[in-house]
Amino acid sequence: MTNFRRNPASPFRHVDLVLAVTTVLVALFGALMVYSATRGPTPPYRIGTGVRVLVFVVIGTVLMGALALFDYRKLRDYWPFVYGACIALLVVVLLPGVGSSTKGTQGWIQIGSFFQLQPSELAKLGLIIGFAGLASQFRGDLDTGRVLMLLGLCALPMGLVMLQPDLGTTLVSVGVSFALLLVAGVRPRVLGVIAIAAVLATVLVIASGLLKQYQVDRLTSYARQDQVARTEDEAKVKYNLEESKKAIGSGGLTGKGLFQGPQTRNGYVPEQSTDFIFTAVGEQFGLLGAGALLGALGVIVWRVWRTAQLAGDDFGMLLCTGVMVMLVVQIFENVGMTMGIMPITGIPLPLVSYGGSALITTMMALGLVQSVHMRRFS
Amino acid sequence: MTADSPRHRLGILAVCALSLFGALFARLWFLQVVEAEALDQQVNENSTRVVVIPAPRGRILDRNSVALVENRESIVAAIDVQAFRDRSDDEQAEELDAIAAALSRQREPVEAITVDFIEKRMNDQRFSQFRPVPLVEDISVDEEIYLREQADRYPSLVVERQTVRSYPYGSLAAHVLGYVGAITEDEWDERKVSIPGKPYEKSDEIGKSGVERTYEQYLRGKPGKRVYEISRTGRIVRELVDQRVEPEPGDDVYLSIDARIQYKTEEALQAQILKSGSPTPYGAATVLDPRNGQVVAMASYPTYDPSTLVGGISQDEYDRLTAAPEKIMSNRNIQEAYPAASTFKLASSYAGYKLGIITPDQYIDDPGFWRLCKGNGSGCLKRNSGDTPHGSVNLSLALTVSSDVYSYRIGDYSWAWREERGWGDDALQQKIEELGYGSRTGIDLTAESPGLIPTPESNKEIADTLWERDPANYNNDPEQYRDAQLWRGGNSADLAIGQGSVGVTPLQSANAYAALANPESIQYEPSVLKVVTAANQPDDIHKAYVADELRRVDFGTAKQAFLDGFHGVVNSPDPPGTAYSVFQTFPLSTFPLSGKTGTAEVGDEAAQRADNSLFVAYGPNPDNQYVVSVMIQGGGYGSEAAAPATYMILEPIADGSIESFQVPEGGLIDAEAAAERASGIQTSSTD
Repeated sequence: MTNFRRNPASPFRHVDLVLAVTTVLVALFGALMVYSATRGPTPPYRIGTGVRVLVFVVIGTVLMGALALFDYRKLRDYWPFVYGACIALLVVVLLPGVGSSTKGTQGWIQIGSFFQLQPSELAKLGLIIGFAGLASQFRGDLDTGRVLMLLGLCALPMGLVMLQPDLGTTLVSVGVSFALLLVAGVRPRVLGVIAIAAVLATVLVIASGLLKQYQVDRLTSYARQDQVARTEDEAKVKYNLEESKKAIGSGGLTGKGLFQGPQTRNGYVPEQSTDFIFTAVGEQFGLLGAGALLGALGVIVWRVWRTAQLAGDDFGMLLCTGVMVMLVVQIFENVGMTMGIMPITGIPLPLVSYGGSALITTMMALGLVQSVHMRRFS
Repeated sequence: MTADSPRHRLGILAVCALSLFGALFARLWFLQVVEAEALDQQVNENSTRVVVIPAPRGRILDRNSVALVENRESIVAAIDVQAFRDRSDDEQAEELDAIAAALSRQREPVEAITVDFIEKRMNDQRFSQFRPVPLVEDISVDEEIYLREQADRYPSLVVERQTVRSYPYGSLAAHVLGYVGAITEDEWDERKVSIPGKPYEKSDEIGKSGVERTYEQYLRGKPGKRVYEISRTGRIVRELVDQRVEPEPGDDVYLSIDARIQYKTEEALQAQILKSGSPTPYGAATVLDPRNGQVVAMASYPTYDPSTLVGGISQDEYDRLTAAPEKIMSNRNIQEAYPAASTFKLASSYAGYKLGIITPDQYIDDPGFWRLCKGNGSGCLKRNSGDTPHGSVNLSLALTVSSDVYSYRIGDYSWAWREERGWGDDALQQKIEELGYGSRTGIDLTAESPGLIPTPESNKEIADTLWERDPANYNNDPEQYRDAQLWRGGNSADLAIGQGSVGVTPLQSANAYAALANPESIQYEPSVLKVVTAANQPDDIHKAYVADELRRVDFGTAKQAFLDGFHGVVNSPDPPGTAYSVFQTFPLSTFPLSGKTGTAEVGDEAAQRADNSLFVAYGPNPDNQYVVSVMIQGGGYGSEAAAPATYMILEPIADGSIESFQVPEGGLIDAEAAAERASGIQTSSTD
């Protein structure tokens, strides 16, 4: 710290303030949105959920700062422990009596009375760290054996998550893995083979009955938005989508105003505080507000991408690439599904949706990116 | 850095990310700009509920602004379905029992309010779930206090006040006023949006008859509304106050009816019906202004108190009110047609004059009978009432003494001469109809009958129908049936004295004489309306009565003879007018009166007492302001019941006492006093 002002390579001279400030602002805005979606239509308003999110924002900010201070390069040696811990958590959550389930997915570990840990969220970050660690050791020299190793490293957490089953997180991981393979230097022809294999695997998974019917309905119903629902599950999904589109569309250009949206205030959109939080933004703040939020998220993505470009080493570059793709896939899938251009899967909107594990994971990931940014000259 | 470097590959990712964000923005723009309006409307549809607030109906008043129909508050026990559904199942069951018990407390076991009934009401689609659903109407103040005191036992029960119809004068003018009742499914389908700005709810009331129905579009108030925002679970979140519309009361309708004369008319009718001891104690009386067609009074007996219909009635009660032969709710002035008897001589003489069968000055010999054909059977020999020969009579004399022969001759010749004069089969009928007989007058009341002027054609149709329906109508005898099919001179003769199958409503009689009583022989479409105004604002006129001319009757040179003849009926001592003795004590010097008696033979000849008594009068001559038409079923001779009733109706007008008269509270008729008045009037057994 003593040479902070004199040493031009000091990490503290290279903090990405735009990234840090935008991240915290979006998270705080998310807390407000969750509150607006959960306070109820009439006084006395419930503030519990909103306060919980604020607490998570504080915890997330602290962790983000801590990881920024932490020299990410130490992970080049320790990544197997991080990756291994994530795998362990994914196994533990599947154990009967330890993991608790919500809506058919066994994906949470109860910690105290306040917090439920969702290992699949952490595992996304674990996968990125693991991949970056392993791939950076190969230094771009990827023969078939090494590609298979990398694939295996990605497939293990994905497989465990599928067992919960948590389809949304798996899909994000697929996107992240593919992008990482691309950036790590896997040749296009090999990538093509992997892509075909992935499509075949997806078809196999759907056909094999591994997925629950409601998951298949969610996936396929967006393709039949204008038709009559065939099953009760599909009807629920359609209803959700209809109400979602109505909420966003009725916001118009400038929105109905904070706490003034009937869809949000009266709870017409199911799952609004979590997966469908974007509808609360769309209804209350309209095209201007929702556009601004997407813009802010875009700024974050851009800063992460820029850090990947500037990173001092392959490990940092791959780390940032993974985080960036994770964000992009989640944003596109989440916002896309609320507007009916993507199938409905349980994926939170980064930094905005209600969900402690996801918020903390995202902020920790951005803390790591900050760490890469700060140390790009040292 | 080669082209295949990681930096280059990051560029590919950037392009991908940018295009994905671009897709999101495009979709966002589509939803929030292109589709915004449609989606916003859908949001309003599923998040708001409109609750219609009924508006009070307008009042109905008489021509002097005396309120005949007002609104009063009714205490209604209702259930707040929303509050009820919020309770637990056990609490709901318990509360239902408590409510049922409380509401049944002062009721007979058969009328008890059951849990079943309450549940049905709560699920009744007619009632909005966002307003308390009514369970019992018109509960007493004591009951209200009891229910409020015990409120903690049934928190969902609401006691509220509604406006319902009230009738300060009880049954006065009941048949004219009509009544309101719950709208039926059919009425709702047909009329839900028939009045601009006043759509109907399925729980609404609607005018069912009389003025309540014909002036529904004015009387009905403009419903208000409250718009509530509703949560996904159906609970009211808040009211959107900026969308609130307050209900506006309906217009006040002022009738041409004069409550005082209406009362006197009802009193006279009832007194004479009861005095006659008729086995069919029913009757009707209309007082009409010949100068413009306005109805001043219209009484039908038996009558009823419309307040008993408020809040709905049982089927039994409804059946009792509508069952024949009493037909309590039927307005006999317009809904029923009767033989007009000798009051029809205006029509037949007019037809005879127009056809050239008679001239006003031509004298006809009346030996007491008219021979249609050879033989002495009733088919060939038509007799005067009481076989009285009237000697040589011209038009006015024939009317004064009511010579049947004079009219038989007209009827007979109208048929006998039809070929040689080139008339059609219904020449007589066509001329009669020029006075408005045989078609509806068009009065602004419901269910008016057109009456019937039989023609050879209609006669045959009726016979055919009866025979086809059941040959027993003609004792299974084809001969009798063929005989009935056939129109003969006798039919025309019967028609000329208003007998046979002729059907005339008391109002048609009044309106036919109104044409004569009018100085320009104008006949108007009768009406009970004076003016329609905004509620409680007599100067804000929404619709004023405009006299609607139906026709000008051309009485030609015969008009004076008609006027003289009817004047003689009341005023001529020799030869005695048929109603002369009745009106001897009437103030004729200040209120000159003309009229015509009628005695309709109904049923078989042995039951003479069952004759209908008729009288039509107009005065004061010559500037006639009133035409009175009275018909009393089974009242006997015209001058036995109907003429004395007319006396009783017109006397207070003639002597001016009506001006200071006040209708007693509740409109109740003092039957004893009325009977005493009735007994002071002389009667006679003249047709």
